[in-house]
Amino acid sequence: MNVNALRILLVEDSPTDLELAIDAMRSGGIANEILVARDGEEAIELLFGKDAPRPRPPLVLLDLNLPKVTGFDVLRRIRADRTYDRTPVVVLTSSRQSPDIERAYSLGATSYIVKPVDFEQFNHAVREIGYYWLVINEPPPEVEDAVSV
Amino acid sequence: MRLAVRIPLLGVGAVLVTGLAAAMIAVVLGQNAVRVAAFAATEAGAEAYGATVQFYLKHAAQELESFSELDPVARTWSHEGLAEPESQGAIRTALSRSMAKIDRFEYVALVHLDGRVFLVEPATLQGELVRPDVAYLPWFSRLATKGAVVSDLFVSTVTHRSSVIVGTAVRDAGGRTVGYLVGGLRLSEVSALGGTPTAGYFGYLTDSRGLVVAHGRDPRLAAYQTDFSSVLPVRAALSGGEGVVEHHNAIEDEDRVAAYRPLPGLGWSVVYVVPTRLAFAPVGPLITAVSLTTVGLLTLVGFIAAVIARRATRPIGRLALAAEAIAAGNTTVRLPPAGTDEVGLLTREIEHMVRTLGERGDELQRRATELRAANEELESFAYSVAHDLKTPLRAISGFGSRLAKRLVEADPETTRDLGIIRANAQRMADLIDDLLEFARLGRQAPSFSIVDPAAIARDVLDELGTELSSREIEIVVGELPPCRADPHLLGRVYANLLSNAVKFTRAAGRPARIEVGCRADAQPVEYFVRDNGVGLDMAYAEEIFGVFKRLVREDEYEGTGVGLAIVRRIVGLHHGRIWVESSPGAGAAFFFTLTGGSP
Repeated sequence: MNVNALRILLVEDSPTDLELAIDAMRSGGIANEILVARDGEEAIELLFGKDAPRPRPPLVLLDLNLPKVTGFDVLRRIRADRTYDRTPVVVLTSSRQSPDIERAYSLGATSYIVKPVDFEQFNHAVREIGYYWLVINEPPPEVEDAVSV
Repeated sequence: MRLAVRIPLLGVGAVLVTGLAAAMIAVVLGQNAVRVAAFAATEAGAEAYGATVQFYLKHAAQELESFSELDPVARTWSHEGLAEPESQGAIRTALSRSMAKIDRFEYVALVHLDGRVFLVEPATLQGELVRPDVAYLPWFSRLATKGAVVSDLFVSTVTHRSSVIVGTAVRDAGGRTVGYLVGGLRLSEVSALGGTPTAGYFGYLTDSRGLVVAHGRDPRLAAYQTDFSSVLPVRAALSGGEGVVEHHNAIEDEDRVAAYRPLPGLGWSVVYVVPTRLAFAPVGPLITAVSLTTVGLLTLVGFIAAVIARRATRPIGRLALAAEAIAAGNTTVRLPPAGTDEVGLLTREIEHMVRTLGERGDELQRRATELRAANEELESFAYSVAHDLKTPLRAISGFGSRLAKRLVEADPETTRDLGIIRANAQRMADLIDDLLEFARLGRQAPSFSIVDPAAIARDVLDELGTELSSREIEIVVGELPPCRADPHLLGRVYANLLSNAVKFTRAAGRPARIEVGCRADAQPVEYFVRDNGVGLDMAYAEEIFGVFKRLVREDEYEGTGVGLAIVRRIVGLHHGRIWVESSPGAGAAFFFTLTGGSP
């Protein structure tokens, strides 16, 4: 299966950060369709609702400070589900506070990236993430959805 | 010791002391009473004995007098010119008949006025007479002058044994003294007046010189002419006194109570003796009775005290259990009902205390909840600062850069301005991060463990690798003693101090040298990071540890001005001290101690 055909999920509430992130990925040559959730609730709806993407997104980029449902809650929900429990979830956030880092990993984050403020560094970071998880990394085999049989 | 034990012991102790004192007083009083009684009894014994002896001697004298008035004695002897030997027959017959009737005398003798012995009856003793003259004997002159005598002890010319005689004058019809009649007393009979040898108590007599005349316990003493003149009661009686003494008889090894008195008229002494063991015999039962009473009393008091102590301490024990439960944090414990005594008072005090404790506990819990809420609020505030302040900065940087790219033909001035915007956005973000860290240090409790500071410093140096490898810096990490610290926080200390050292040696104009070491002999150990960089003016030595305090221009040395403030706060969390020793151009040494981390 072509990884490029898969849709990745970007959870980000700041429109400027969202634009800069998408811009960075596109300029970095990542062609995957990008699903966007603007808050935690929307992210959960997208992942677990009726219109959940098939096959599963190969990567979730997750901001922590989200309106309504926080990034931590989304992470907990993802790891509680059998079909998502192996999906790479990269936390992409402004916080470099150690309690946040600790909490994210203990809830099962695959990786924790502090968003650089500097534009060039930010571009570089986002490109690297996409390149690593979508090109270099071999994703786990698709887990069949129990209810879809 | 428990009260339930101590109170009965105190009771028994008190009774023991007073009981023993009372018992001793009782014994002493009893002893005295017994002594007085014994003395009185002994004295009475002496009096009775004396009277008996006197009575006996008086009778002996009367009997002898009656002998002298016998017809053949009085008439024949005086009329026939002091009796011819032929008339002896009639006299002997009369005397022996009377002596057979009254067996008081061993012998009787008729003596002429000049002391010659006329005859001795019984006649068998006549032949024993070695000297027919008694004028030389001390008693004869008294007999001659007074007409009657009781002699002291002397050796009889008739029996050749110790003897005492009673003598009387023989008178004719006209009342003239024509001779004397003497009778030798049976001393064993006199001794028998003083009791029997086995009775224990006895009386004895001495003559005026202290020689034993009769002895109730050992009659032989009279036969041996034993001299008692030095015996205490005898001496006292012979000098005219009467009374009772306690003395020790060395010969028989016996303590005795002896009553003594003179025998009137004769100058003899009368002594009546009761051995102390007999005199004080009633004291033994007295002591036994007192002892038994005391022991009984002690047992009774001990028992009563134990019962009282149990009753008194039981509520205290219950209270102690309750207090223990309260101390363990159970403020709902039920206390025993409070009475009106001291224990009740204590119970009420504890009840009050428990109530107060409960209220305080609730208050404390409420405060803790409030504090937790405030902390959480602060946490989320810090989070918002981190997130929400940095997002716009990222937008400024990002969109500024995009703008710069689009303006391909932008003049150098525009490019420079956009660069400044980007740099400041970054600087702002760094400031926010550092400030958040600084704020967080005030709210986090360090987690101490034993760490190796040298290893931590080396790890930090590895992380600083990029800049170090691009420059030529000599770095020396000395041997550092282990200490108790939060390893993560100690890493932040070294990170800040080492990056400062790297930074400020950059423009010193000489090969950089950085030393990580300590003064191990100082107490507490002083750790330091020393460089040979630009140094600083000691006038600002205190200021540099403040937040946003910078001594250098921003365009020369990067940094937020929070680093040393963070270092000082961390050292403070370890209850240590930090200071700098430096002079401009000569490098700087930052010292710190970590005392508080010590357990």
